[in-house]
Amino acid sequence: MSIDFLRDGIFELSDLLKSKKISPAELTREYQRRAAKYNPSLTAFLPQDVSEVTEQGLRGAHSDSVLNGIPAAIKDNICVKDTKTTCGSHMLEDFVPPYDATAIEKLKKNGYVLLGKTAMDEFAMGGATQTSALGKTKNPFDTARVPGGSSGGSAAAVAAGLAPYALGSDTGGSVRQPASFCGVTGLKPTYGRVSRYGLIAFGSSLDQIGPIAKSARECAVVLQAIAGRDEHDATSSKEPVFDYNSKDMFGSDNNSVSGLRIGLPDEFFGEGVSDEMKTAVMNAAHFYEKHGAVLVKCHMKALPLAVQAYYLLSSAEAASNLSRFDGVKYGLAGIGNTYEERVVDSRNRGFGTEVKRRILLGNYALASGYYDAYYRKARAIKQRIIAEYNQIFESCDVILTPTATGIAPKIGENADHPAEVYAADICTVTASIAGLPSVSTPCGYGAGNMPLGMALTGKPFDEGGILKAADFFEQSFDRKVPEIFK
Amino acid sequence: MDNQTFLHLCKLSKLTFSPEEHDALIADMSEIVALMDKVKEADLFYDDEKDGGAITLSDLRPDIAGESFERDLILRNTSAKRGCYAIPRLME
Repeated sequence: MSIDFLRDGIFELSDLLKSKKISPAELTREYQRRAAKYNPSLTAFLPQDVSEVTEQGLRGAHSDSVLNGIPAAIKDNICVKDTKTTCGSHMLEDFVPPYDATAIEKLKKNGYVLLGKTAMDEFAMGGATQTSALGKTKNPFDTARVPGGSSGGSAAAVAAGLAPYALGSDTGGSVRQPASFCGVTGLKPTYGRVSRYGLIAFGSSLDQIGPIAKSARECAVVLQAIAGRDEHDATSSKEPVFDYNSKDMFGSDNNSVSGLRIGLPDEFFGEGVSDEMKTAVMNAAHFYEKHGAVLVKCHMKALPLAVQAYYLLSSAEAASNLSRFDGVKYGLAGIGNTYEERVVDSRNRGFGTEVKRRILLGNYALASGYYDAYYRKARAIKQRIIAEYNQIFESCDVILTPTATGIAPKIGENADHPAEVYAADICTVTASIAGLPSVSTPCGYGAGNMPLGMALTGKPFDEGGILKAADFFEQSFDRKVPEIFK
Repeated sequence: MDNQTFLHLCKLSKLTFSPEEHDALIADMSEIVALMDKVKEADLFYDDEKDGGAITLSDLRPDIAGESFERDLILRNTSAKRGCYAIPRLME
């Protein structure tokens, strides 16, 4: 029995487990050994000791699920009981949640085994996994480059074969963009499809937990496990969960794209997007067309204002959400002679620079005298973006765009210019603002064989539609693996 | 961004900065606000009526007392000493 860590995914590993060629404990040990060997050069996992929870998982792996006994990597802003959940921040460096996130509870019912907590941008604020106070991740395809973010640790772990699948969280592209940079598949579900209970809040109207894996089919399996209404999250949807694993979902007869109407919004192929990215996505569009899909030209005229709307809305929500961190109930305890001094000291030392910038921006947008000019205007742009998506979906079934403006940048590139870093989120933020499902899957390779990802965005709760379309492409696409981890 | 606005935001955010950080942050925030200023060009108005109503009272959990977390699990995240922890004085 041998495992091809870079190629084998959930289904292959499940077959090995079901045929008893390997036990869940042996499989977990194999991945632990691999992580011990390669994680020092990547920092996909944070160093917290999860061994007790791993053993609990192995003892509880008695489900019929395809996921039973398969180890998983979990982003470190998702609460796992009895394991440190740090959000990549000094503020929560010693925080041990007294409960599991609902997504974790649901994975437990499917026999999940915790492999480790993954590195992330501090409080999920960043697109490179370089703002973390506790571990900065490198890209498995080129360790001089970033893995994307904020779920960069999760994407790097899957791409380098250190974990079969991972959970990330996506507020403005934090699952899709690292998936694109690391050459794996990442899904942001519809807002409300997955409970946010136990996900440490950044932008509450935007945050969603989503899977990262080697294929759309694997993302579907994980989504099936974690989706659904949760009474602990009033924003989780009552919409019935589609059977993403049904025979109608994937398979040669049913998974045709004949007649599928694919929208190509002009604005997503503008000057900010690299030529190699445009070419890769358009090649994918023509692949679909060759197999019977219909390409539809369309427009997203509000796109030039989307980054601003996203940053104003998400930062306003972050300023409010992060006001709970005062070092009293949890978080870095502050020192001072008065309550105010203690709170300020806790926040000064607990938060990193990027988090402070977002809190300042959020309070700026909400402050008296600025609220109408910034926050309400951002809400207006959000309404326009939703209206434009509705209009596109009158004539299209899915929308195809680049996931990012190009390949992963070098570590440190643009680090001194936060506004330029923010502007690079242009391709992912509109789906977040509109709460739509969107999946990124590799569609080509650019300079230095770095991965390029395309995003398929669907109507609310049509995860099935976009995953089917992504799977159709993946079946013919020659996915590369990072050579240095072979 | 001028110094007065920046200091006001710091107060709202419960943050303070050293003189070096202060200057760097003002430069960063000026760059970020310049990017955000583009929203002022948009000839759009927020329609309050369109939003809201997404969560109804029936979506909320019934207000029934249930089992809560164990005391020790909650307290392990505080800086408790020998079973006690100090609460900062709230009234000055």
